[in-house]
Amino acid sequence: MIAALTLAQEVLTRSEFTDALPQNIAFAIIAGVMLFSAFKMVTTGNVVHAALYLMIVLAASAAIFILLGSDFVGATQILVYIGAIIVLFLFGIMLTKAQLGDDDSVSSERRGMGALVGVLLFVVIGFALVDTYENIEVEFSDPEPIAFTPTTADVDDLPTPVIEALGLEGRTGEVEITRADFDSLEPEVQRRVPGAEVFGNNKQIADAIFSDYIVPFEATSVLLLAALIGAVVVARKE
Amino acid sequence: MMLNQFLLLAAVLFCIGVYGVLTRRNGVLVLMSVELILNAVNINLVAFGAFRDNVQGDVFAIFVIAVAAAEVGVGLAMVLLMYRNRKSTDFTELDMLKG
Repeated sequence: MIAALTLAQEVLTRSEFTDALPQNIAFAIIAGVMLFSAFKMVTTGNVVHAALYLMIVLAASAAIFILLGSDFVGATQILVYIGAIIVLFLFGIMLTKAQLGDDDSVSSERRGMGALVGVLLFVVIGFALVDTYENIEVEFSDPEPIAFTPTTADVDDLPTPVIEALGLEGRTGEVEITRADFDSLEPEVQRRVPGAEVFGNNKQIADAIFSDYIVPFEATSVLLLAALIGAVVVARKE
Repeated sequence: MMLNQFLLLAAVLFCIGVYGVLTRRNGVLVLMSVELILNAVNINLVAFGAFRDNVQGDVFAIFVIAVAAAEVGVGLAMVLLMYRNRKSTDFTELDMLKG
C-alpha cells in the first residue's frame, strides 16, 4: 500500500507528467469510463444494455481521438459509430428478439478460458509495448498551423488588436503587411490578420486522402456498395 | 502524455473485445465485441499518427471506420438470416459443417 502511494507520488511529481497535467487528468477519466463500460459490455446479461455500454466506449474513444489532436477522426467516429452503427445494432437486437432479459448463460468453463486468453494476450502485448516504447512522449506540434501570404490592407478594415500590435494607430489608407510584421505577432492576433489562413489537421487529411490514398478511397466506396447490396441480398425474404 | 498510455489502453480494450468474442453466444453481441477490437486498433493508429506527427494514422483510422461499417451491415444481415432459419442467434449452435 505504502509502496503504491510512493510510486504514485513519484509519477505525479515527474516533470513530463506535470507538464501535461490537464491532458493526463482528462485521459485518466476517459480511460476509466471507457474500460469500465467495455468490461460491463462483455459481462452484462442484457443485450440492450450491452449496446448502450458500447455506445459509451465509442464516445470515449472519440474523446481520446480529440485528445490526441485528431478532431476529424473523432467527429467521424461520433457520426458513423454512434449515429449509425449503434442504431444498426439496436435494430439487430429488436429484429432477432434475442431474449431481451438475461441471455447468455455462458458456462463457467468457457468464461474461464476466455478470461485466460484475454489476460495472456494482454500480458504479451503489454510486455512488448513497455519493452519497446518505455517512456516515449507524444509531442504535439502547433495544433493549428497558420499560413500567411503578404498582403496590403486598408487600416480601417483591420481588427483593433492587429492595429494595436502593429502600431498603426492614427494611420489611414493602405498599409503593407509583410512576413516580418506577421511573425512578430502573437498567435492569437496572427489569425485575425488578412491573408492568414488557419488550418488544422483536416486540410492535411483531405490532401492525403485525395492524393496519396485515392485508390484505397475509391476501393472503399466500391466496398460499401458491395456491402450494401450483399446485406440486402442476404437479408431479404425469398 | 506518453505514447504508451494510449497503446496500453488500446491493448486492454483489445483483450476485453477478444474475451467478448470468445465467451458470448449471441451473434449480435459477438459483432459488438468485434467493434471493440476494431476500435482498439483505431486508437493505436491515431496514437502512432500523433507520435510520428503525420496524418497517415488518421487516414487509416478513417478507412478502418468505413470498413467496420460495411462489416456490421453484412454481419447483422447474416445474423438476421440465421435467426429467420433457426429461430436463434446462438453462434455455438452453428455446427452444420462439423463432420
